[in-house]
Amino acid sequence: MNLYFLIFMIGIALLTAGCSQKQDDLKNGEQVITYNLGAEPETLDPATATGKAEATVQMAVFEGLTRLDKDNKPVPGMAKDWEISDDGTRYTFHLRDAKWSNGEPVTAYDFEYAWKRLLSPETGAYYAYQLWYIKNGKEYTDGNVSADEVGVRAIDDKTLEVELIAPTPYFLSLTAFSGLYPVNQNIVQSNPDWHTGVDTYVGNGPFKLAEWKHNQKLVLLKNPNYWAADDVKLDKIVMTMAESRNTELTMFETGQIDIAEEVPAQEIKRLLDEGTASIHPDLSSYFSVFNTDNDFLKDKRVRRALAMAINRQSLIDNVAQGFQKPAYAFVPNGVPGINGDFREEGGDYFQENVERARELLAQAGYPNGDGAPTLELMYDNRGDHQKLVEAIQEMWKSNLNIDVKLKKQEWGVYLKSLFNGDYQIAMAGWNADYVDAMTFLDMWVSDSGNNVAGWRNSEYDRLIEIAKTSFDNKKRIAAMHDAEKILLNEMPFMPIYFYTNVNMYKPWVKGVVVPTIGGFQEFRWAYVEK
Amino acid sequence: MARYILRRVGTMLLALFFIVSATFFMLKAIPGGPFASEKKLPPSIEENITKKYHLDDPWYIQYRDYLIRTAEFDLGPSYRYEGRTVNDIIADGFPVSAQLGFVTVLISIVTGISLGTIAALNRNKFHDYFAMILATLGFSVPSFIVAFILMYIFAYKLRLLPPALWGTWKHLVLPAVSLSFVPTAVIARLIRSNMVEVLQQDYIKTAKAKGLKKTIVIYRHALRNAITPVVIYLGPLVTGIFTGSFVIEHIFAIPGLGRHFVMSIQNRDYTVILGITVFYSLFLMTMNLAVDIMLTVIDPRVQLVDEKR
Repeated sequence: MNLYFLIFMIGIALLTAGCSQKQDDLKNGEQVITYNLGAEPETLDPATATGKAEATVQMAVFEGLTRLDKDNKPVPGMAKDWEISDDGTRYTFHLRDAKWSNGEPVTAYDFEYAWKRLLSPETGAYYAYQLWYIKNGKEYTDGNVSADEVGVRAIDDKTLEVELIAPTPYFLSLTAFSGLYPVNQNIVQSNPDWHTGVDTYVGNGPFKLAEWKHNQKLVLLKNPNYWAADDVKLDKIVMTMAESRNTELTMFETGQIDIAEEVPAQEIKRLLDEGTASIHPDLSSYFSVFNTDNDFLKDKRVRRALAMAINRQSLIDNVAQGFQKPAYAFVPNGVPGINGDFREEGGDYFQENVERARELLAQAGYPNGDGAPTLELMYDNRGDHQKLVEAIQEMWKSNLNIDVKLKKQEWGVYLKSLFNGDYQIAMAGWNADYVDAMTFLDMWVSDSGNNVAGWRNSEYDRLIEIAKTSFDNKKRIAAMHDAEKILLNEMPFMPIYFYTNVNMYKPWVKGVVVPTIGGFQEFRWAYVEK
Repeated sequence: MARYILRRVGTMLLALFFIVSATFFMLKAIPGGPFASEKKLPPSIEENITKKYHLDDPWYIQYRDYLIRTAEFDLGPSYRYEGRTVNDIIADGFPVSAQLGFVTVLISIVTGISLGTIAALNRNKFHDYFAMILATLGFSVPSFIVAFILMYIFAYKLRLLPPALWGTWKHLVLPAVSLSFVPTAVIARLIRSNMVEVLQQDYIKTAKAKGLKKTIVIYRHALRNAITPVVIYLGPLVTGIFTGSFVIEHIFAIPGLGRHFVMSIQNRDYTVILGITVFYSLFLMTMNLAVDIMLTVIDPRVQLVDEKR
């Protein structure tokens, strides 16, 4: 190793000397951004894709009836305008003159086809439920009615009519979601594998797919057929697929990529000081769910005591380090309330107070933690839970004198334990499917498959039902506020924090929008300024 | 010899059948599935997905279908990567891993043999100790630590090489060197211990007595006899390295096959797990057979005979 290795390395040093690593793309004024997508997309078919990487690519290649702007508000996309009936259940969208990337016109029939395709039992789409707001949407997925009975219909090439079951104030922002993108009917019907090849992957968005080397890179070029192509400044996006966070950071710092996500926690402070990192709020909540069937945890006072006895700001500052927001409720900031922000209106529902927590525990019959069983705290091997659960374990021990055993499980095993109620306390997260408090609150109703706490409350169910069927937005949101209050009084779970996304951008990258849902990179308005 | 090879191929197929069956049933036993997520799906959607991928068929139908398809070299579609088959995944990943593996093995053989020879010829002298300390270090430091150190020095500090990604020979250097540390150390130690033994043999004395040049004695007589264990080691080495290393591919963002060995299990991508298990087993058994055949060429004392005769 000594001599040969040295010669080898000197050889390499000589060979590489003088070869500059700089990108020469920019020399001719081309607008290029290299972004680490972080994973190979599992599929690019809008109907079946589920993840973040997938949605990022689709957002660049497709466009729904609307698009979310930098304030997360839906702005006209394929639809140039729309009418909503007085009762809020009938939408009529008027499409603009737009073309697919292969030059064919985008029609209302493409939308009808795509939406029914998402709902169809044969597609087996994960996100089919995103269209269950439409009349007979669920019935069609369940296989009970035919496609003709679904409440979406193209009146002519340019008019799409949608019939909803109940007024759904967030329906417009839902049309910007990737599952509801149109697909080119001719292309999809002639080739079931249309979404795997560069030539057949036809979109209607600002960019088009030019190259896809699996697990390696994806290249998008500006789509000259996009209706607002004049307004798209970027010529090219190169997406790499490095999965390791540490590698990604080195790639960013050595100039291999211009945008990186998921900065290693210990580096965040340094990068913020340097000005390359930025914090973006995310519509998702991190919490510990209590199994209320457990003898100890079925007492509300115990659950409240546990929730009050941890120091969230300390967890964030010393462990998570991503400038998350301590949570004293369940719905994060960033969803609409009656006049302003839902969270601001609702406020905090409890305070951290170790003294009070000890009192509650004593009232429940466990003064100074005496007689309390050893608790088991379950978490999965995918997220960054390890240090956090250790800190929580320590806080419960020192504040309440309760012993906690940590139980790490492989992801698939964890999910099975969670959904079978085979746990005591579990670390969990929940992210929004749409921009409304309902996407958080309806998981705790009695018959929700996601209510793993085993907690049932008929008053809560009643309020959610009112919110779901109410024609009056004020009444709807008031009901959700009341429901959240019950939830946080009962505490089938203990909120910890609202997530953030920490991203890094080279100083010349401008105009990239990070939606609060999903934390994607939206390149529609992006450009490079050197 | 032909008969011997035929027999070995027969055993290989039988072993493959057992490997496939064992993996298949183990997969059925682990909890979770390819479509499990933290959001519980409404039952009808879950049913539709299961039906789409024929996961609702009884196990014996799934098992039978899988055996038939494997026999036809069709390893099935990936559950996780829609529109890609396991054959595609192997065809995309293996050439990359093999290319990296080839360079790694080359580096390991050249440095390993040189190091071992130098050590043996200078037994119990400074060169020997130095070489063996290096070999011990190379063997005991995990490849991901080597990878991070190399990346830090050559990519981050000196900016001589790209830290990650794949495409040109420059992308190959750091991962290949990181991967070669362990095999280099193994080969060096194997060569050293065998050389030391061989060098005391009578035929080496004879060769020296004949007045042959030292280099000829070493290369033609000593090394050739000391190399047998290295060739045997090459079988598993080539299989392991050519099929990719998860850690190294993860660190250097290399689109190889190694990541699929780990990620497919995490994803419960049943067909991919089975497919790469089949591929790996077949490759390993073929390499072992190749090594056995190669030994007859290198060492005339070795003869391949049918054990039954």
